[in-house]
Amino acid sequence: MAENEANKEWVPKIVAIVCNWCTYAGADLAGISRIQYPPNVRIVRVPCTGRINPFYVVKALQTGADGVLVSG
Amino acid sequence: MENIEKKLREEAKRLLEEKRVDALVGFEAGTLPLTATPCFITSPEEADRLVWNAFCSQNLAKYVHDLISQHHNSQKRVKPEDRKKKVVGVVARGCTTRSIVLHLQERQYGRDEVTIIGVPCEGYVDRKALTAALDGADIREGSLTGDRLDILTAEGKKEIPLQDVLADNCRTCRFNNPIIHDVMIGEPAPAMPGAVQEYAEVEEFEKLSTEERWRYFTKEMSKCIRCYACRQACPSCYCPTCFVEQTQPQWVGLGEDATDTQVFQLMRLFHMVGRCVDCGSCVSVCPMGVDLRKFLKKLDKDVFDFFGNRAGVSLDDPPPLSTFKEDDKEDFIYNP
Repeated sequence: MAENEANKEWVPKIVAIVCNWCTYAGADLAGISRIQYPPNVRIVRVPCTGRINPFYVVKALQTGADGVLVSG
Repeated sequence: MENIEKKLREEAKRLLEEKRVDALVGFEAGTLPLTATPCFITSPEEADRLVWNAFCSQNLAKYVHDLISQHHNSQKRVKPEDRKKKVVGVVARGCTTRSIVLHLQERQYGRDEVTIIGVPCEGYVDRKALTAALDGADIREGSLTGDRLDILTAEGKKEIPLQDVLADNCRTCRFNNPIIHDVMIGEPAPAMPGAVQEYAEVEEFEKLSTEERWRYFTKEMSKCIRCYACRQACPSCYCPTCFVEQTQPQWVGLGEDATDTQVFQLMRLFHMVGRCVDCGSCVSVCPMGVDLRKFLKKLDKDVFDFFGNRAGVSLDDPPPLSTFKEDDKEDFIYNP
């Protein structure tokens, strides 16, 4: 298992903090249209990007995310 | 300096006698040679305790905020018509007045609640640099004559030029005279010669690669023992509940995990954007000698480059991060 992991090309883990009303709706539309998007993106839905505390970004990076995408 | 001290005591006595201030924050001689410690004076007789010299390192604006906010809290349950006003006097140099300007801009208290006794400043002694210059020897006796420190240690007498042990932030200080004051003591001090290269150290740091800078950050933060002395001493850190003490949610773990320390320092640094007056209090109280100033100065430079603003230098300048101007830079929006 570990060997397989090592052979794989490294892909970054990305946390996407997205707005309920635009980006999340877009991701949802992609879902209903059955368009594939990379599984290494983990979506966190927020009511508005104004809801984001800078700590969300710092904590995501601290706990192992390689990148944070804020969209909305 | 002697003269300034004398005038300062007279002025303090007068203010207290005339009841123009209820409490005065200043410095008194410390218990060890060549030290000064903050003191609170409430009666005219005590005014003779005040000193003003090159060993007064703390930024007293912190205590002004503490005293006034305590008073505000105590008045909350008092009927509005019975509320008392309390005026806090403060002996303030350039950086202290910058902090007070910042507090006033952030609506922490009114201008009529603080009386500023402005004093000129030509820099203070960095205790760590002094200890290093003496190879860690204990100071038994010491005196400052002009620009020369005469020190007696167990190993013998030693002379140290004042210039060699000045704090880094004082060498490059641009605002060593009070920005605002009610009473000014003495003549304004001459500008510090290093002020023109205040960002030299930061520019040097910016030239390093991302990896090298990150390595420097992690190296410095690994020294931090999270005693929070920097936060306690900082006049811009006045939140009633600091994010490190919040438990719901708990943003920063309480263990000794290196990343938690980094998160604490990183967030504290971010809270200082456009608010750090470079008074050097955090650096002077740090028991581990963490180089906080490099990061704070970098943020200061960024704010100056982006918004042309230096924290607390004018009451008319709005704080950069809480204002919108049509000509704010937008070069972070681009088509990749």
